[in-house]
Amino acid sequence: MDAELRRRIEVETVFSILEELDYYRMLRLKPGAPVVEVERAFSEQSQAFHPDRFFGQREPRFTRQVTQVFKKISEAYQVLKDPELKRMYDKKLGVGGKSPTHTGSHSAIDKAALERERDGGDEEVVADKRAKKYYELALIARSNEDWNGVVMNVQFAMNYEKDNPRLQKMLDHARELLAEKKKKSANPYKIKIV
Amino acid sequence: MPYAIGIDLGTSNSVVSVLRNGAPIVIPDEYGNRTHPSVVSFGHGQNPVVGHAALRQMSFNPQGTIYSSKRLIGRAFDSEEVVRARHTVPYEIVPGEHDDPRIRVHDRVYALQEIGAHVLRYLKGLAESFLGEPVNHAVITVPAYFNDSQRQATRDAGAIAGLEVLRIINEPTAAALAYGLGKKKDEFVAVYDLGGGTFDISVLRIMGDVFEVVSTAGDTYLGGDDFDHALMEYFLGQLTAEQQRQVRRSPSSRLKLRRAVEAAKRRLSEAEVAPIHVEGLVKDDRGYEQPFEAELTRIQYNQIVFPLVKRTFEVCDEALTAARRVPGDIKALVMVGGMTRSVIIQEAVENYFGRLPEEGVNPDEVVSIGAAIQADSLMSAMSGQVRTNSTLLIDVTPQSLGVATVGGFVERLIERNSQIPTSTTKNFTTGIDHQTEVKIEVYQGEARMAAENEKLGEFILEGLRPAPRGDVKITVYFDIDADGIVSVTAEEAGTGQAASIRIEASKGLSADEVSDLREELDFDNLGF
Repeated sequence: MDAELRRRIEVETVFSILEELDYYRMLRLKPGAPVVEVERAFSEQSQAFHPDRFFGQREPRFTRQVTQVFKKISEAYQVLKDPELKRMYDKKLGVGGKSPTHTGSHSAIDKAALERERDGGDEEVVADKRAKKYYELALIARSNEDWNGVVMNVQFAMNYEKDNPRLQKMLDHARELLAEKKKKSANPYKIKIV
Repeated sequence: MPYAIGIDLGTSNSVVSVLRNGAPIVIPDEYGNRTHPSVVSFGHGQNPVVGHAALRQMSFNPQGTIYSSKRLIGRAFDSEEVVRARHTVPYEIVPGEHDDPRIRVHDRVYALQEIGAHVLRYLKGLAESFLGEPVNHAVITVPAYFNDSQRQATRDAGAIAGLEVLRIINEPTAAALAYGLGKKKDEFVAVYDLGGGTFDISVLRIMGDVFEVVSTAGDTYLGGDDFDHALMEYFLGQLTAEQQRQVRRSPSSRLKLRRAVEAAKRRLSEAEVAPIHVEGLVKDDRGYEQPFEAELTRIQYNQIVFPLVKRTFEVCDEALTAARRVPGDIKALVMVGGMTRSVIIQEAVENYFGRLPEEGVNPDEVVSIGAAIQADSLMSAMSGQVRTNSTLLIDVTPQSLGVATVGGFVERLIERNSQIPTSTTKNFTTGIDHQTEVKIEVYQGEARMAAENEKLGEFILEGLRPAPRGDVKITVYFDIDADGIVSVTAEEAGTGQAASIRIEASKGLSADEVSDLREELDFDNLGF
């Protein structure tokens, strides 16, 4: 068979079962394979499935398929080369004889879900509408590394949700960073007025 | 398979290469020059000249000789860069109809894409005479930090020049391709690219024939020209106030001084001290022309440009942090751009990375060779001739993409340095009770506030179900294809009401304008 045709059929076959493939199978690896193998597998799978390997194909449907396949290869690589995400993923998958903590479709434990879990950030951190407003301001402050702003806004949010453990954790973390920053910029020659 | 060429369209100089039987060749002009000034000179009633011939026109015809036009392409007329150029270049910059800068020469107004097209057309011609056949396909390089509209404008310049632009790739990425061709290594490589107008740093992982861009960072306004500018200011400071006014007012005096400091800067690559002599730069108080004499030592030079050199390493820190690497992880260092010949840069880079730059890499040619490698790879795929050892480049998106939200903030949907092609979705909600439409504004850049980023486009999603704010869920879907083209779709969850755009540069030319300009350029080149 013509090599070009064989490559196309391969893409179409993988595309048709894309939803059923977990990240390891996407890279044609054994579950739990180490990072070095992940890296090698990524480069091999890219050689076969990167859209540039089919550059200039005039059929939009096929281009979409190969793009979807490569996106999932890339996603698998991003997760499995990151030690923390890989550990979380392996646990859910039940790698190494342990029972999986996740049952059902593999596509439900994707990169975005793992990152959300790692960052502890589901949208439903707070339930109260007023608390939510301050929580969002705290997130903005956090992305600007404005730890004073984080402390202030989390405290406001906790006025409405006193015993929220996630908020408490965020507050402790911000206070810690704030203390560290203060320590760094402390002026030993400063005179204290008594 | 027809040839596809690689073009490094530089701020000061351009280079064109081709891959022939797997071996890269830099294409010379009839005199054997391998780099060609990115200069276009329009004479009265004649066809424009390009390259070395145009450079020679600079002192005779400063208003009609366009150089450094890459600094203006794809930018807004009121952008900082264009405002600054209007004060420093001798040619006239006027506002165009898309809020873009244009150049007026002898009562004709040219889009920047046209200027670029003249250079590209010239390079295409060089390749055609060298290869003895028509060349219609090319890969063109741009600085890593070019935004969408600058890239699109470069693509349009190619189209006007009669080239099908297979891909726009980043200059440092291209350099890495040229470095790694056939080496079959598995290692991290950094490309330090300091050219005439821009600085870029890229970290790549080479795995055999697969080149994975890991991170990239840059500064679109930091380059050799800024070094010259700093030197010019230093020497202007040695003149009297009246003499300074004379020089600043006269384009030809400024050019003379610029040439002199450029020459001195180059001289310092070998010598400890460089003399500066400019004939007739200023007039004394009796009105007689006086030469300007001065000296530049390496120590003085280092002090003057130190802040600029330091800035490049701040950008390096950024790229390495994004790659989760430290300088010691980098196993090969590729230097690109004329400025990297300078001793101060070489010493500073060696100090930062703790290793010597790769030898045998020609900093002027390596980018165009990389572009030729990518051109060959894409052309093979297009002709159904993919080889198992064809070079594959896996690129990233150079800047973050997001949408504007309440309060003028940007919510990022795709972080910079994300591997492409990629796509992502995010849910939003309405901010006002009974809102029936929502405007989706798409931004590119790293700033928190929308207004400080580059706006790529906007569209309206209409026909929302009227409901209290927060009750209507809107899903925004971002997609970047392998060409780096961004598409955005917004959909109301449940109702299926949807709207979308494919981003085309807001300051770009329309398809009609591009094809009109292409015909015009063809006409010019036929010698009518």
